[in-house]
Amino acid sequence: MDEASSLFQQGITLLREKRNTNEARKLLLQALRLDPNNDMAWVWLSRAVSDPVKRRECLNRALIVNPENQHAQKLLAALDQKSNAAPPLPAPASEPEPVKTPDPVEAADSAPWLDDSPVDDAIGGVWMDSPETQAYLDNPESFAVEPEPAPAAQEARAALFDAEPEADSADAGLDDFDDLAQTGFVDKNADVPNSKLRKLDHNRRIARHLKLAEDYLKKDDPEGAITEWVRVLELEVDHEVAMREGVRHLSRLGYIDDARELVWRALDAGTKHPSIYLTAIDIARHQREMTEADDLRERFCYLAEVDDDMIVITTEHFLDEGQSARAQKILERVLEQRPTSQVVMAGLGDLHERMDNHIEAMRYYDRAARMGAGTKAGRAADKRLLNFAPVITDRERGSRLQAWREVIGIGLFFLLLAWQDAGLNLLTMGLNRWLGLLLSVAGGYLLVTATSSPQQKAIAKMLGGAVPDSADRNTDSDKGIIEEETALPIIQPTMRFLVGTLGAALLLVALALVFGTSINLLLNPVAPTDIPRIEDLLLEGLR
Amino acid sequence: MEPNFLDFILFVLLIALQLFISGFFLPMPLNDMGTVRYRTLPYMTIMLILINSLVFILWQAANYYQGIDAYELRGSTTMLNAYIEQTWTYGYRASYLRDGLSVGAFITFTSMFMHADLWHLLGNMIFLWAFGRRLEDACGPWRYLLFYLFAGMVANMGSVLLNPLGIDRPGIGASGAISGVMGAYLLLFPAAKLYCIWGIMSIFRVFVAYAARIIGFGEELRTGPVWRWTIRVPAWLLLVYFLIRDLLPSLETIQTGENFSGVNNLAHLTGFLAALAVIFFVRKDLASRFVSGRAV
Repeated sequence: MDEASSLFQQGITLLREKRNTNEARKLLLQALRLDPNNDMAWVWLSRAVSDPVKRRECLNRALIVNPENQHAQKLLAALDQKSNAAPPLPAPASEPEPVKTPDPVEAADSAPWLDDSPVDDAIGGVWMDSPETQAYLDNPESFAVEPEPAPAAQEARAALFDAEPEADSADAGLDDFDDLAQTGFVDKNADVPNSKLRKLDHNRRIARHLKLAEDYLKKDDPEGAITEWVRVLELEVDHEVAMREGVRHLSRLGYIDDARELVWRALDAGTKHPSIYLTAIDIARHQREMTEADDLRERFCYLAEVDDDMIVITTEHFLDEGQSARAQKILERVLEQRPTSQVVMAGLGDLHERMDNHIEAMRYYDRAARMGAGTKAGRAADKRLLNFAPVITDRERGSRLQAWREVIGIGLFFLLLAWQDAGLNLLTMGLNRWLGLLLSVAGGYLLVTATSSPQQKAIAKMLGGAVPDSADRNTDSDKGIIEEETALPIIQPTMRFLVGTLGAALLLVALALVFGTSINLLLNPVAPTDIPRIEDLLLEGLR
Repeated sequence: MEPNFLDFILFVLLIALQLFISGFFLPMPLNDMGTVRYRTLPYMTIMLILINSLVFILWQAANYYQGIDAYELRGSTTMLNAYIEQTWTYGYRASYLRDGLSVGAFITFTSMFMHADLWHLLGNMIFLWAFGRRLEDACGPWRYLLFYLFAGMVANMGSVLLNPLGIDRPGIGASGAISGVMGAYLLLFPAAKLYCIWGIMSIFRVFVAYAARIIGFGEELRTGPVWRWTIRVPAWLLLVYFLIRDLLPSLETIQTGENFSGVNNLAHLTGFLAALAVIFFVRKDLASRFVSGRAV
C-alpha cells in the first residue's frame, strides 16, 4: 500500500472510531497532497470539518475529480437540504456523440502492416501511456465503472452515512486546509475549478475511455474499443495510445480511410508526436502516395522531438531514391536548428561522401569530431577522418598558444645546448647563456610567426595582414592538409620575410651566446690526451 | 682480389640472413602499416639515413674494417687506432664537456651520426625507417629534425647525468635519438601496427594456419599464405618490449656504474623519455587533435 493510501486509511480509521478529528483531518490532507485524485479522501475530509462552507468545498472537489461519486452527491444534497440553499449538483458529464460507424470496406487490402508496423519497433517505448493515464489506471476510484470495492472500503463508505459530523472547536484554525487551498489543490472559489484540476479532469476522462476500450477488447468487441479511442481523440486529437490502437484496429477491420482520417486530423492540428508522423508515412506509402510520404518524411525530420539518429536514417531514404539534394537540404536545415548535433554533422559527412564530395564530407566529419571525440558519433566521425588529409581551421591558424607551443620546443632545444656548453652544470651557465636563451625564445617566436603561424590573432593585424583570397588555399585532399576558408588576416609575404629574417638573426646570435665555448672549440679543437690505443686495450683485456 | 657483382649479391644475402637471425626470437620492425595523413614524402628521414650511412661508410668503415682485417692478419694497427681515435675524439664523453676538450658540446651531434660497425648502423637505420616516416609526417621535416636532435641530446645527457659513477667512455650511435622517435611514435599512434621480421612467430604461424584450415577459423589464416616472412605486431607491444629491455640494464648501470653489454641502454631509456616533449614539435592541427583526445 502506498503512502497516500496508508494516510487515507489511517484518517478514515480515526474518523470512524471518532478518536481524533484533528489528526484525521491532517492525515487526509496529507493524503490529498500526495494523491489529489482521491475523491473519497475529499469526501472523508468533508466529514472532518464542521464548517459547512468548507464541507461543501470538499464535496465539490470530490465531484470534480469524480462527477459520479454518489457519496459526494448524497452528502452535498444533504448539505443543501440542511442549508435550504442547495446549489445545483454538478451537471453530469455529457455523453459524447456516438462515433459514426464506418462503412465496411473490402478487407482484401486491409493492410495487416499495422499489426506489425515497424513504427512501434522504430519508436520503442514512445507510445507508452502518459504518467497521468497510469495514475488514473492505478486508482480504482477514478472510474465510473468501478470494480466491487473491498469490504473494508464498503464499510468505510457505509460509515459515511452513519456518522454525524462533529463540531470541532479546532475548525476555526484550519491552517492546513487554507494552506492546501493556497497551493491550488483547493480553490476557494468553488465554482471555478483551476487549470490543474481541469487538467486532472481531462486526464481522468481520457483514462476512463482508455479503460473502457480495454474492457471492450477483453469482450472481443473491437468496434466498441474503437469508439472509445475515437472519443479519446476527440478530447486529445493526437493522443498517442488512442491513435496507435485506433489506427491499428481500424486497419485490421479494413477501415483504412477512417484510420487515415484520424491520423490526418492530428497532422492538420499540428501534432508534434513523431510516432503519428511515422504512422502517416506508413499509410501514405501503402496507399502508394509516395510524394505525400516524402513530404511527411521531410516534416518529420523538422520535429524537435525526433532523435538525431532517426533524422539521419530518414534522410537515407532520400539518398536511396536519388533525392540527394533534398536529403542535403533537410540535414542542413536540421543542423541550423541543432547546431551542436554531431550525429547530423556526421550524417552530412556521409551524404557528401556518397555524392563523392570528399572535401565537404571531410569538413563535416571534422566539425563533428571537433565537437568532442568522447561520444559515439564523435568517435565514428574521427575514425572516418583518418581516411582523409587533416583539416586546418582558423582555430589553429589564429592561435597564439599554438605559436608559443612551437617556440617552447625551440627554447628547450637551446636550453639543452646551453646546458651542455656549460659543462652539464646549470649553475655555471652564466649570464651570456641565459641571455642567449631569452634571445632564442624571441627569435624563435619571430621565426614561427613568419613561417608556420602568420595568422595569429591581433599580431597579423598589427603587422598589416589582410584576409587572403579563398582561392589560394589548398583544397586538394591528395596534397597534404586541407585548408578551411579563413576569415583571419595573414601577414603579407614581404613582412613575413623581414620578420623571419630578424628571427633567424636573433637565433644565430642566441646560438653564439649559448654555444660560445663549443664554437670556440670547434674552431680550435683541443685534442684529448687519454685516447687509448688498440695495444693498450688488448693488454687491459688480458689483465 | 677486387670484389665483384657476385660478392655484392652474397653480401646482400648475408645481410638478409643476419636480419632474419637477429629477428628470430625478438621482433625486428621493418615497416609501418599505416598511412601517412599529410601525404608527405619522408625527406628528412631519408636525409638522416643518408647522412648516417655516409658518415660511417666514408669516414669510419675503412678504418674499422681494413683495420680489423689488417690486425687479424697480424699487420698494421694504424687504421684500427685511427678508428679508435675517431670514436674517442668525437664520441660523447662527459669529461669533454666539463673540461672543454675535443670540439666541446658539438660532440652531442657528432656522436649521433657515428656508428660502431655496419650492424649497428643497419639496425638503427631500419628502426629509423620503420618509425621515423610517420613521425616526420606528423611534425613536418624541420620540426622533425629538431625533435630528432633534441631527443639525441636528451639521450646523451641522460646517460651521463644519471650515471655519475660510470666509466668515462665515449658513446656513439643514433640509438638515443631513434629511441626518442620510437617513444614519440608510441605516444602519437598507439594503435598502429608494424610489419616485423619475427622468425619464431613465423614458424608458429605455420602451425596456426594449418589448424585454421582444418578447424575452420580465421579467414585470413585460412585463405592467406601459410608462410609469411613478416608478422604484424601492434606498435605498443613492440615498444613496451624495447622499453623493458632497456630498463633493467639501465637500472644496473645507474646502480653500479658499469655497462657490461657495451650497449648504452641508459641512453635508449632517456631517449624514450624525450618523447614526452614531442607535443612541442608536431603540427598545429595535430597538436589540437592530440590534446582533445582525437585520433591524430
